[in-house]
Amino acid sequence: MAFSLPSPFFLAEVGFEFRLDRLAAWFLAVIALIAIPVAGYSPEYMGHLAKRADMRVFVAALPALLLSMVLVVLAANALTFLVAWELMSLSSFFLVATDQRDPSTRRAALIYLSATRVGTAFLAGAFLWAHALTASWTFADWRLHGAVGLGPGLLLVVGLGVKTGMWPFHLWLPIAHPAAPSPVSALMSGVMVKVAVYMIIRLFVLSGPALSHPALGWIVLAVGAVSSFWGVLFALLQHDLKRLLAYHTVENIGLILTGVGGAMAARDLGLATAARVALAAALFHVVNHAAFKSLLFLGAGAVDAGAGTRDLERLGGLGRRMAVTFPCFVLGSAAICALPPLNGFASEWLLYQSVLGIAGGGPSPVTRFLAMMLIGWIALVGALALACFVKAVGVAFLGRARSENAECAQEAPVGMLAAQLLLGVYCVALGLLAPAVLATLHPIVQPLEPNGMPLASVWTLPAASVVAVMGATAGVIALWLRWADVRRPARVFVTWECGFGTLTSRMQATATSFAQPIARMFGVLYGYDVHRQIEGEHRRLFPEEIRAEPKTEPVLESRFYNPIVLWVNQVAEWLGRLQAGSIHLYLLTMFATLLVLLIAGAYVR
Amino acid sequence: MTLAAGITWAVYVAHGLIMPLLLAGFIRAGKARLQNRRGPSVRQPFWDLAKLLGKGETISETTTWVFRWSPVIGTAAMAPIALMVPWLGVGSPLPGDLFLVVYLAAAGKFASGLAALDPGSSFGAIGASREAAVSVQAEPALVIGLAALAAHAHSSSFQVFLSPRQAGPHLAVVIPLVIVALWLAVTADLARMPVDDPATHLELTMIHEALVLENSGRNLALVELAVGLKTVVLFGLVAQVILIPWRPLPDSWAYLASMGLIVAGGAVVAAAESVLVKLRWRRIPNLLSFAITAAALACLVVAVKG
Repeated sequence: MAFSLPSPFFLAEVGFEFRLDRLAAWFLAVIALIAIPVAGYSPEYMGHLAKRADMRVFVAALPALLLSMVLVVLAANALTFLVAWELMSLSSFFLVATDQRDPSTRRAALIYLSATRVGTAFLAGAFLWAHALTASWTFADWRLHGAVGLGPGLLLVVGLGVKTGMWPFHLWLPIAHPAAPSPVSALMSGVMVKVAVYMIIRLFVLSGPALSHPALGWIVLAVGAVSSFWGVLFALLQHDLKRLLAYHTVENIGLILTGVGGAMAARDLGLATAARVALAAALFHVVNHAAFKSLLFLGAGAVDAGAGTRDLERLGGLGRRMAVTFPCFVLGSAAICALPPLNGFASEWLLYQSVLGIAGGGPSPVTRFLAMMLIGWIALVGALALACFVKAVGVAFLGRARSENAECAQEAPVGMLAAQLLLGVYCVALGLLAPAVLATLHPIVQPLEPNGMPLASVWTLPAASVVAVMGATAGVIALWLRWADVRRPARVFVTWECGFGTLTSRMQATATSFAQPIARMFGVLYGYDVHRQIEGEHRRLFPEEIRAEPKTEPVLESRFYNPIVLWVNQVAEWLGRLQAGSIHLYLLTMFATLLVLLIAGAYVR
Repeated sequence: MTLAAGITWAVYVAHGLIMPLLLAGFIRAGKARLQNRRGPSVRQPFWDLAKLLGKGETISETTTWVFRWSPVIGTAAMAPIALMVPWLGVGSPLPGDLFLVVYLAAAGKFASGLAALDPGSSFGAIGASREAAVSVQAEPALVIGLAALAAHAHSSSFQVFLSPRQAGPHLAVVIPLVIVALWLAVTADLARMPVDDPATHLELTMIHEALVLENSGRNLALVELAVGLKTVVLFGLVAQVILIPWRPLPDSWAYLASMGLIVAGGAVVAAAESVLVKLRWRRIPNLLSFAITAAALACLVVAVKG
């Protein structure tokens, strides 16, 4: 279905054109599914921020963000897309800056804004290039295959990649997403990054595709695989709950891009079935990640509102005080760790199946071997995610309270709980109804394998029997425990303290110490080091004081981004000399520019 | 349900209930014999379990519902695994899938990790943190090793890739490599020597035992049942990989060979725990990198020949 705005509204050469197809409908459904609980959650949550932040901006920007995401998904040509895209970037910038009294929030908002500028610059370059090649702004007219597709394709991947938060352009994401109010974090992590994924799928995989080059699939696949690992690895180190979740967004976007890149690569290799399953895995993971990541961000918001902090080292024991938020958070964590029968498992299983398809049927030994290694890579990412969420749930909600704030934590009000419960229902329902979801996805991914079997036939798992066996086993044991408890009630006593008297909350593991073994295992990538300071070392075995502090150095920032920032600053300083106020210099600059343009205009045509 | 299916279910359920305890008893008796002790009888785990089930339970005042429910979830996650992996050599009651089994096992780990952090004891947290670190290395080794076979058979279904249609001579190289990778990963995952010593008495050096330090009575009985079941199922899985070159086998032979290999696995564990010293914690990555390398080599051979 296509429609456009009436003629008074138009952009330089084309009108505001929109089109709705099944792929767009899928993403619109994702936006709507998440917007409902977020809308229910916001009023009460923002109530607790009202003293600090300006609500007028928030109330104006939130609907603008939702509208712009819908428009991006519907845009049929590049100019309409850019307008909607900029509206999305600006409205989300204002939302990130809601709590602007806090200097770290202001900094986060600025970093976010500059990241979106870089992304838009790449996108604009790509669109101009594609327009130069095809003389059309409409996506449907682009047919850039082979060598001509590589240049604009790479610019597009970078421009959209900045928005998705894929490695190595993810740096802004763990800074900006946690700085926003929690419902906005849920929208940004759950939905907004997916809008960029949507464009990658639209332009590179489906409806044509508009652009293709044999290298692009492998690039997206590789970047996705690295993102998934990098995201989870850095998530392990975090002790700010929302920042941890933001790094997991990098991880999950990585998994989605692995699916998208796998679909492109498999299509180019002629493995139609694997391509179709990979794309289905990516699309399924889009909605799954939207559900559980929003759930987790709303849970983190409830923790923040109830305990006044989201620093894991100051939380603990919230499980007994937050009777609804806690099980919801556990459910979301289980879903993001892909534990069956929840929704995360369904899409990750499809991803495994598609990679196995490449591993079994790939044309060259190298392809097959790399695909097999990718299976192990995804398993590694899964094991790391599990460790990270055991840490996050265990340190925040279990054990003893680590601060007075956590001790006096309050459960969230009804609206905030209802939103989390609804998202929890999504996680369970999408997992149990996976075959129905696949039937819905079938017509969307059909173009990759026009005469293939129904997509639901890929789903060969005995899921119903497994759930039945699990339920029956758990039920029988629970009934028996009930009976045994009545006969002989459990004794409640203190935690084992080796007979030395009471344990304090400082004797528990912290978020940092829980992650220490894994952090040291991958220490090279973090620059992980423990600084020890021993006082009274001359007393050999009985020093007075030992301080140990783990230090990490983000390698990507220090080795790659910081030099670039330094260089840009130097160039800016040098260029600043032109701005010294000398009118002669200004006139000379203008004259020189005119001359260059005239010569260029004469020779380029 | 047909009669044959009913018999398969009955066989798997009965073995799933009895074998874990028998194997545990066999390992203990074997260790005692190797160490010149008389040791308890093979039936001792049955009495231990009965005692634990009847005993009272002590729970920490710090805990939430997670602590009570974790062993239930762990056992409930193990039950379908034991019905999907054809660990007895004959076709399993439910069609099994490699990735489903791996993630179901992860569900058990998730529950036990949370339960260990629940009482707020540093021992439990050390156990949970170490177990997570070990499984970060063991899980990829297990998955890559089996993925080599799965890619060879173009399917992640146990029924398909454990009895491949066309074997091919290169499987003679692949299978030993997969067995090495699996065995190292399985013993690490089950917290046996040389990664973890189940008989250790010092909390600071424990991995699995520290994880369940707070569990007692019925709660502990469920944990032990789930661990025992995981042990026999994983040993049985390794046995099926060993048996691949001899397939197709008559059911009775496959069953007898599987049982023999599971018991042999127990004997190897007993011997290892009598002669080996526990590895230093920092050396464990070295051991498991062997497993990952062996699995990757198996993949390489399959990729070149497949």
